[in-house]
Amino acid sequence: MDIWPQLLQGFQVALTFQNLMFCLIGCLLGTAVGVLPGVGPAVTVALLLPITTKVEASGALIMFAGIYYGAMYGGSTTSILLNTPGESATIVTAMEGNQMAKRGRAGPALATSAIGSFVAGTIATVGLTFLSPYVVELGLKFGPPEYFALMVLAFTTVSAVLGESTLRGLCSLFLGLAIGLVGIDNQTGQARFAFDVPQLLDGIEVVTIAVGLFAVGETIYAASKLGSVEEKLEQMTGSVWMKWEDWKRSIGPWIRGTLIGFPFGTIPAGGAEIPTFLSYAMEKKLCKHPEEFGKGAIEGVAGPEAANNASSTGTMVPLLTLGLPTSATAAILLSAFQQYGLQPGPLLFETNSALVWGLIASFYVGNVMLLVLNLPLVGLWVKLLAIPKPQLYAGILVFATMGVYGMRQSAFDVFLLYAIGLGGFLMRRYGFPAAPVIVGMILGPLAEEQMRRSLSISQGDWMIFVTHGISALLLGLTLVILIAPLVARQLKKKNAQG
Amino acid sequence: MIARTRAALAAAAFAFTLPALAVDNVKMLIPANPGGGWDTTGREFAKAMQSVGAVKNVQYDNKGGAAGAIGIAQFVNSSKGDPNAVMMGGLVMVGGLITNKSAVQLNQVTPLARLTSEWEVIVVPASGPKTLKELLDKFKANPGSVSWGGGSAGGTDHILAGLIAKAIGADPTKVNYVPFKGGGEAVSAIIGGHVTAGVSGLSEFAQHIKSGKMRALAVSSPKALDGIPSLKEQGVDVELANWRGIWGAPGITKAQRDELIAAVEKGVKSPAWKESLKKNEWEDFYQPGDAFGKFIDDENKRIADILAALGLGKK
Amino acid sequence: MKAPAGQLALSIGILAIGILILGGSFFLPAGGGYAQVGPGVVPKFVGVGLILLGAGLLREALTGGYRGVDEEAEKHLPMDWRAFAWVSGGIIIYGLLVESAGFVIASTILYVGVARSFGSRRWILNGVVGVLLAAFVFGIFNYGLGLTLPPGVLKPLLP
Repeated sequence: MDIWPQLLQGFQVALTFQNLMFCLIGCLLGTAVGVLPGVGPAVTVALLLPITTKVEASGALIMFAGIYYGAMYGGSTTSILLNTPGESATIVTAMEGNQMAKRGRAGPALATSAIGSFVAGTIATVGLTFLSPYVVELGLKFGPPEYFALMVLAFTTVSAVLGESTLRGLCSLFLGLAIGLVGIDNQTGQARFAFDVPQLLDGIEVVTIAVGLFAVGETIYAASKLGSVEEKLEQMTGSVWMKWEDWKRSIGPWIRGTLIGFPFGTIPAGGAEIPTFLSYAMEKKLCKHPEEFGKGAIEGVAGPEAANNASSTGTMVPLLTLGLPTSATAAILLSAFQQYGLQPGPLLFETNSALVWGLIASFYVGNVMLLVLNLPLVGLWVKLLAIPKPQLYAGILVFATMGVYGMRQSAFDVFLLYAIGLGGFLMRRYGFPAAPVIVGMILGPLAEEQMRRSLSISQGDWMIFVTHGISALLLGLTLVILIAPLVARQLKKKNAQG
Repeated sequence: MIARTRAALAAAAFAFTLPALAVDNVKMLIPANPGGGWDTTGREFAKAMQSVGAVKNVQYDNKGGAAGAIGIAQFVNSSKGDPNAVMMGGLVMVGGLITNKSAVQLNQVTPLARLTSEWEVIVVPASGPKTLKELLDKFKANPGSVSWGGGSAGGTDHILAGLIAKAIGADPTKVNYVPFKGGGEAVSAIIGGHVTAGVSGLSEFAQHIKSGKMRALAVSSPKALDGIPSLKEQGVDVELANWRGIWGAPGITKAQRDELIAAVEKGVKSPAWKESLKKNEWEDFYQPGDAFGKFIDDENKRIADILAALGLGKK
Repeated sequence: MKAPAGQLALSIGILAIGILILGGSFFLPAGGGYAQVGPGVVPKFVGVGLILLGAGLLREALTGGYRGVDEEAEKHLPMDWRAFAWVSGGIIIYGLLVESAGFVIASTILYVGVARSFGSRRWILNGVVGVLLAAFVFGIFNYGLGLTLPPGVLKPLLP
């Protein structure tokens, strides 16, 4: 198949004035909804679907796609500056990013996340252009047992975020697992730990927990413990821009984050959060300055930010080649195609080649636009931190409650948010890390679900996890990751003795 | 104090507009999050009603959660007697209210009309059984060996699998049902051959059937659809529509109800609605007023029975 | 050495959550279906885990306090209950009022309350900023996205 002429044809579509405008609007909207906690790209695209009756297909789809990956750029901003993740895929970014901001390095943190997103978005688009058919083939080999093994592997990453005390870190993880139990059990339809409260039947949203633990917990702590202390809050010191050292430390994580994020986007494995965990854990392992992690290591921002962007582009692979949506936003993009009577799939590449390639070309264009938009914004964003503490935190809470309330329009969620905020406050006060809670509540239900699905298919035979090649491979890898450090320690001990 | 002022204001406004149309400002409650099936149906239908002037303004209120149980509870509590309030819903809600043991039931709201239906389809991977008979024979011989992939437990897809088992004289609890969440999970499990069969709305699988990655064995409509024979035509006496409809508030007068039904009928007959149906591949399943009310009662009984047989919800 | 009361309470709290989950899991079928792993299995695992971890925390608390948590340093950061009450009140009032008084009013009260908790007494300035911020968000939601946030008592003012 000749890709080059088709891609060229795609750029001819994407670079028309009208489509450039749609791309720009999409990127701007995406950045905006990314910044606002609680409002995600899926809801935004859903609400804009009616414009499909007024706008021709390529323009609307280019705009919708722009909203999707634009949100990943925007989501990191509030994570870094305010410790309030705008999207759940940017929770990990808050960990190191906000620490960087607290040390006056908000500028480089925002810059590495914007440039990393650009690098990842572009590389992933190249992957989408040239590798789609192969990636999709591989993705279809993943069934419930493979996904279970993948979740088990992902659990090993939690060790990277446990913090200084393993006991308290594990406690956080198990609290996350406990939160993940709440709601209707997907496999049997039975309610678990919902205490007959209808609002709990659908479980607790990750965003509510994240905003509660991070934004609300942080605010309560700052107000009631630090209010009396004259603290120089997040003052900028040094340059807004990345230094040569920052570049050097970011490039590796960008590339690795992309390589992790892209394949994750192509499979329905539960969203862009998991690759960000994996990337974070990996960077912490590989980093030459592991002691900086938890205190604002730039690798911990660069990697996960690249991962979430690559993952959002990755979801386009199964969507365009098979018509298979692997995320909530992709599902709505699919219905946008259907509004035009188009069915994404191999046939679409032949019948509507200009449209598909125009869309793909628009990803290259959109990523450049977002970079150009976001880099100058860095200077503007960091000025936010010049807002005095009372007004700044008040603003954070207005956005946090709006996001949580706006999601389901339920006052119950506001009280839940407050309760979780209190929990976050206590955790902060007694030195419990917050990130493992999120890891637990995302991975726990997925792992349980995939395990029980697998066992249902195998009629209760646990061997299904080792008789499936990929699953066995992933579980083996998990074992190596768990055992290798122990073996290394033993060897070191022996060497020291000998 | 505030509440009283509001009530007075509302009463004044109501008295003022009463001689005109009661459906000037419709408040539509959508008991689902934005973007889902009820949301699209509701918003498109409201636009269709507006397009022919049956209603003027529509205000949407999304209240998702628990298969509509949260939305309907709010609708019953806060819209009682409000002649301008309507609510979307459908078959999924019938099942959801039963499995969630909701205190509020569908007979507490005022049925206006059934609007659309989507039929279900049974598929297998391209490498799977060739005919429905082959699949069902395999099921009868060893029920556990046939895994059925579909939407959440107790949902439409699960209900259909249960109804089929019951119709061929097998035990519905013996169905090895593997629930997936939306977003392509089920599709990829079926195409990848990880489950034996798949159940879902026809429109969701149509393209994969066309591309040959899935084989359609039967549809749940009374007659063949898109060249796929129906269950009934193949000797399995099951019919199941994933229908959607619209309700009015509890406690409205008959006149108010009739006025809303008239507005709905205008909407159904509008060209804009015909267009929406075509675009979204929904089938027109219009049935107004009392007939719809009776239909809901029947569905309620049938679904409660099968859910009880599947071990979900009490009889 | 006396064990820190807060740490004791927290450890017991986590232990209690573990017991609650383990206890609750017995009301859920552990087996059933073809998977033979029912909805009750994973909660048992989580419950036992939390009980063990809670016991571990309790032991640390009783033997000199949580490792790595400096209770002495905490004494220099006394709990400001008044500030705590302002934040808490702000959020709780928001939850109570958002549906009746409306989004803009509830958000403004929250804004002023949180600002006060950080010691700001510029009531008028904070009130004005709060209203503007809330009105801006409200506008984006209602007119930009078509998602209706509750207008509440300000409904007659809407265009």
